[in-house]
Order: sequence, then C-alpha cells, then structure tokens
Amino acid sequence: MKIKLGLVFVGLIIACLLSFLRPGAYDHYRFYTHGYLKKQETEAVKGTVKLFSSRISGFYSTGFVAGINTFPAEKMVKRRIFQDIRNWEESNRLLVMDRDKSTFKQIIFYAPDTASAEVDENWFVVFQDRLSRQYISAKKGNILTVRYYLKKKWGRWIIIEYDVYNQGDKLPPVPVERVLKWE
Amino acid sequence: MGIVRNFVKNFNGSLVLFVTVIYLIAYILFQLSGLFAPRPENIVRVLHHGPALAGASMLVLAGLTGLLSLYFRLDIEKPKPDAVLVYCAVLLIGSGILTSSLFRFEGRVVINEGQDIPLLTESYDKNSLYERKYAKPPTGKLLISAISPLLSSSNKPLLRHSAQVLYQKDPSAPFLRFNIGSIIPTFFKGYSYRIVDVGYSPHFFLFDGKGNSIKDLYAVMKLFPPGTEDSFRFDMIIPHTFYIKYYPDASLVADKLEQQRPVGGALFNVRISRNLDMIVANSYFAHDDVIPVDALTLSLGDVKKWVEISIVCDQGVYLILFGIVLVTFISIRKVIALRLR
Repeated sequence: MKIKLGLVFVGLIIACLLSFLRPGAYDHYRFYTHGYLKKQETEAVKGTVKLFSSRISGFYSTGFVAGINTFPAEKMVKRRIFQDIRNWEESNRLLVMDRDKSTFKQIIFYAPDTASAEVDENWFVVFQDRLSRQYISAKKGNILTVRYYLKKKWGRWIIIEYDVYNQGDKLPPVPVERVLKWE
Repeated sequence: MGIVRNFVKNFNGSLVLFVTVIYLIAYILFQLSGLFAPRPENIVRVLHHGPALAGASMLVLAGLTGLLSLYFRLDIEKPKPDAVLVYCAVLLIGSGILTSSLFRFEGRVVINEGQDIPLLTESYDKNSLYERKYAKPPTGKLLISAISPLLSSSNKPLLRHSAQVLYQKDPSAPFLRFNIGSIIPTFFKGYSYRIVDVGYSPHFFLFDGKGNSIKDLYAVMKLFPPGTEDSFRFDMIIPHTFYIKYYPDASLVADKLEQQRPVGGALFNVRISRNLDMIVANSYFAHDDVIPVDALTLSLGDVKKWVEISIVCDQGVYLILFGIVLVTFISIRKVIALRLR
C-alpha cells in the first residue's frame, strides 16, 4: 500500500513538472495564482483603452496621423478609422469627438495575453467644415457601451476589435473561443 | 540476449503500469484544468503533447514487455486471463495514442444550404485545421442539399440538427448521398462527419446613392437561436459595422414592435455603428426593407441556413476506445468476482 501511495506521488510530481516545462506554462500559472500580476495587467488594459480613446478623438478632430505609432490598435482597426476620416474629408467635413466620461464596468482575462473590457462612454460629436472649422451640425450626445477586445503583443496591450452598443442594452456573451484564437 | 530474456521473464509490469497510468491521467487533468495553458480544444490534442506521448510510449513498452514476460513464464505458470487482457488493453491504448499523433486529421467547414464546397485546405476554418505528420485530408466536393428545420413548429430552437449531404469524389464521379447529425458522427469513406453548429446567412445588398449595387453577398452569421446577435462588415469598402439579430417569425418580438408595423413574416433587428458613432439603433426591418446608411443604402434579402461540419479522420482513436472497452470489461469482471467472494 505504501509503495502504491509512493508511486502515485511520483506520478503526480512528474506530471506537474512536465506541465510546467511546456512553453508559456509557468507565466500562465503565475498569472492566475498571483493576484498582483492580474492587478498590474488590469491597470495596463485601462491605460490602453484610455490611450485609444484620446488618440481616436485626436485623429478625427484634426485628420492628422500624429501619434499613430503609439495608437494601440490592430492594423484593420486603424484602417477602418482612417478610411472613415478620409470619407468625411472627401465631403469637406471633420467629425469632432469629445469624450465626456468613461466608466469601466468590467475587465475579464481569458488568458494572460487576452482580455475584454466593457466601458460606458459618453461622447459629444459635432461636424465642422474642414477648412473653416465652423460648426455645420448641432452638438450631439453619443452615449455608448463599448466592449474592447485586447491582446498583449510585444509587451503591450493592443485593441484588436471592438463592439458598440447602446448604454443600458443587455450585452451578448463574449465569444471566448473566437477571441482566444484571434492573433 | 540471455540477460534481456531474464529481465523480461522477471518483469513485474504492474508497478510500472500503475505509475505510468497515474502520470498520464494527472498530466491530462493538469492540462484540461486551464492552470498551465488556455483550455485545449479537446482531450485528443492534449494526448499529442510530448509528455503524453512519452507516457504512451511507456504504456506500449510496458504492455509488450508484460506480454513477453507472461510468454517466457509459460513453463513456470499458466498466465492469468486478466493479466493478458490488461497488458493487451494497455498496448492498445498506448499504440492508439501514438497512431493518433501521427495520422489525425481534423477540420471544420461552413456550408450554406444549396452550396457546394471543394474539400481544399483553404475551405476549412484555419483555426480549426489540425493535421498531423502523416494525416490524409479528404478530397472531393461536398454539397448540402437540405438542412433540417432549425426551429420547431412552436418556434423553439431544436436541440438536434440534421442535414443531407451530397459527396462527389471528382467532377466525373456520381454524387453519393448521406445524412449527418449533430449528436452521433456519421462515418463515410473513412472520415467521420458531424454538425457542430448551425445558423443563418442573410443576403446583404449594399447600394450607392443612385441605387447601383456596390456589393452583395451571403454573410455567415451566428444568428441562431433567434435573438442571438452577430456582426458583419464590408471590409475594405465601408467602415460601418452591422449588428444583426434575426427572427424567422416576427411574433417572437411582437411586444417590441411599433404599432404601425404589422406582425408577421420574418424580421431583422439592425444596429449600425460607424466606429464609435451609433447611427442606427435597435430598429426592426423586414426582408428587402431599405435601410439608410449615411449616403448609402443597405437591404437584407433572403436568408439561407448554414451548418458547420466537423470532419475527422483518426485511426488511433478506435484503438484507444477498444482499449478502454477492454479495461471496462476487466474492471466489471473484477467487481463481479469480488462480490461473489
């Protein structure tokens, strides 16, 4: 009986050791068992979303790409944003966006390098003439809930996708399997 | 040779087997727990990890050595049937894992009703494609001729789905028909087919300000069961995102409709955003209704059903299953023998 118990112990130890030896296993284990790491990454995710919001309003308001290198977004997201800005410019308009308030509702980690953040955002938007900067529309409030999907790449968090909802809407569940497979 | 024979003859496989089985089960459970990596697709992928293959190799060696040991000891004692069966089961499970790691093919394809799709690498969802070194992917073409109703007569989502499939090996060959379901896989020409997901593909039409068509396509969307939301974009064309819910029967949302809209037919709930600007919010539209999208127009036409089919070929899994059946049989025998004693 003692021998069998000893063998069970040996088997468990070997399985545990070999599990740790897999690529990324130790970092994954540390992330989920050390609370301070999760707190650190939560703050990093919040910083990324705030940087994204401030940069995006800058791009729309000026039409310039200053700061694009530090804009924490995936290529297709950047493309969509600048395609939109260019469309407005072709009709001689600029969409000026001012963020009034952001409230983080929920940040969830699906893996140490994959997260989603749900944020209630209040924006004011107004159209201006591109050359004279005169207002050509009334100021409109835009009250949204945005769900950002983030991946950690090269040591920093990047927004790879986002979904926009009306504030107060019941949000659908996150497609976790799909999000984990995004690169 | 004499030393090897003596070693094999005196080999006590039970302890080696015991620690190997404990190690393998513990390793699989550690990997499935999500503590060391995101949870894997399925248990078979865990069995293809290096440490699991090492365990499988130990099982094969222990099984072979055990059987040889029983054979070399025939002159001393008659082998117990249970011992023979255990070593056979262990050999089957170990060799099944090794075979699976060399020959497994797994992939998922999404096909609309009435659509045919060639079974090429690019046809599979690239995240689902899993080919081992000697895997042989299926060839030919699949066509879905009919998908079972996704809703019951009382508009409740069905739990079991089925589809009629036509398979053509090459353009000159005749079509062969078979049915597939969502619970039990269907085996056909060495591959197993099973429905893993169903949904709807609305026909999107995008028009410019003058009514000229810019683009139209069927977008595969997860809109099932009714009320589920999915999003779609005309990538590279316009920056808008279209969030859609589909109700095949408008009575499902009768309480949310405006008074002037008649209750009947199918409806779409449409939300459109242009980056962080919401331009259309939670409005209901019928088929072919005109939806303004800034200077453009969107229309949603007919809706097709789609199925996502999992195609798997893995000879090793059958060996593993046979080994498990054998282990179960031995265990039941032991339990019965203990009770009789």
